[in-house]
Amino acid sequence: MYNYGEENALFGGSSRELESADTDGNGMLDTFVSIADTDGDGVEDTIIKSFDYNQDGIIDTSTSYTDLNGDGVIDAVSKIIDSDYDGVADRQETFVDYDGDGVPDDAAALAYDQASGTIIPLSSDYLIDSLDSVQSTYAEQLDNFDPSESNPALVSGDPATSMEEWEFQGSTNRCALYSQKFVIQELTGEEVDIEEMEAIAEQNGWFNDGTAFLNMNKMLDLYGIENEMSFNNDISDIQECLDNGGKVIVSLDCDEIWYGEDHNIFSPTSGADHAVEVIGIDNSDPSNPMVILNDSGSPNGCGEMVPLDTFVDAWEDGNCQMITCYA
Amino acid sequence: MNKTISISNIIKGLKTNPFILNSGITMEYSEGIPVLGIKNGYLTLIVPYLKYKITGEVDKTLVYPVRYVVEISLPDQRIVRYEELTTNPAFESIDFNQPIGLFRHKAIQHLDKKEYMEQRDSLYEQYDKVVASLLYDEPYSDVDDMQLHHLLNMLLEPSLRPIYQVLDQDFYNKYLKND
Repeated sequence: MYNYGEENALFGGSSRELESADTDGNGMLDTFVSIADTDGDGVEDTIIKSFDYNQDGIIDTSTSYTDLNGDGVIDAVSKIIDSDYDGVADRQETFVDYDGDGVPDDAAALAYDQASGTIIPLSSDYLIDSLDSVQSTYAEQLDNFDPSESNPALVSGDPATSMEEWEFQGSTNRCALYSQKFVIQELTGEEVDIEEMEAIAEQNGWFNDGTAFLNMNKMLDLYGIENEMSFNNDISDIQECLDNGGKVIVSLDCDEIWYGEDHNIFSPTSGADHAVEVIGIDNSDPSNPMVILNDSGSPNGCGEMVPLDTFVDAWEDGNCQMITCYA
Repeated sequence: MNKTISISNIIKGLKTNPFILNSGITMEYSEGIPVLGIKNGYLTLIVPYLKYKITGEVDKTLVYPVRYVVEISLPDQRIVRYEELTTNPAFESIDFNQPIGLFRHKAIQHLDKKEYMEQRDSLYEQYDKVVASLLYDEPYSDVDDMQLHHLLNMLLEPSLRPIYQVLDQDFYNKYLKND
């Protein structure tokens, strides 16, 4: 059963009554206005207007007006309705106008066509304009491995040699293919054509505009590279493989590598979404160990130097998956 | 003792689920906000998989269409459906390689990453309450329902709303439809 007291606790937080009125002059209050701090930040952000149309002591509609970002402009209006006056709210409507232009905001580029039951693309000027202005950035500020600046006795792997295999994948989703290409070329001395590699991978279902985790080693198998995939590893496992002359491919969350911890630039999902080859671990500065990558996803990814902690955080998003490879 | 199911934990567990790992879902795709479905009297969790691409610019992370759907029965958490939407007639006109929106949308531009994740955790806790109510007759109030409605409408990217209408029409009508 819905009653006036409850919608004041609609979104948590605190509320206070502003006014109540008997608008039809029959001696019974029918209109109620309260104001609430719904997010508990100490700033009142929502006005709630409630009406008891049939004077039965039970609220029939309640409309909340919320200023989400505190700019003094109402952003969201939500209305709950007891349309059959049975004391139970049976419908809820939300009207959103976040840009304050008086026009309901709507899906940017798609719409649902009720008649056909299909999703149809719409033209969306604001989205097109926004995309035109977007310039992707990468980790240009990350350093690249320079053997002259490291102590070779403290470097696992042979990053200088491995860096010779690096290529940039461009806007493709071929990171796992490129990582395998780097390893295959270095271990076999054989040049691998990426287009042929992709065609083979597609034909075998190992690549569909991207690679599934368990298909990350299929090209290695095809080229006869001894390899083993495992999860829940730690950095010592990578180091051991590199120290033994092996090669390592991992999956990780590339956003953590490329964009760091800007808390206003993020994706709502988390998980490993990129494959790279780990070509070295540089402990030349023991207080600042660096993991060295051949990262095909960044134009600056040849011998990309990533702080160990950053690498591990990104790697953990993929459950510390690694593929060890030997000739 | 209250019986509970954690939607958040179910979603986390999908990352190492053997079925998911062996499916065709590529690494660029990850779990989006799920919806609840009722199919032949069975309660299910419908998990969409979509990708985002950070561009390095604030509020211009690209949002791509949902491409895969995994449906899980509750409470036993069995995967009962896997679908790649490229083969669904409802999506015939959609280019899955083209972005359809930007993140953060305006409703959440005041939330940083930590705050966004907290709000999403709150949404999933509301889902837990719905599930507990439906499966175990645990208490669930109109205020709980309105809280779920509020959080979902705030957090879900506007560009994804039409897709959610296809994912489950009943859930959409109850929680996402704007008259």
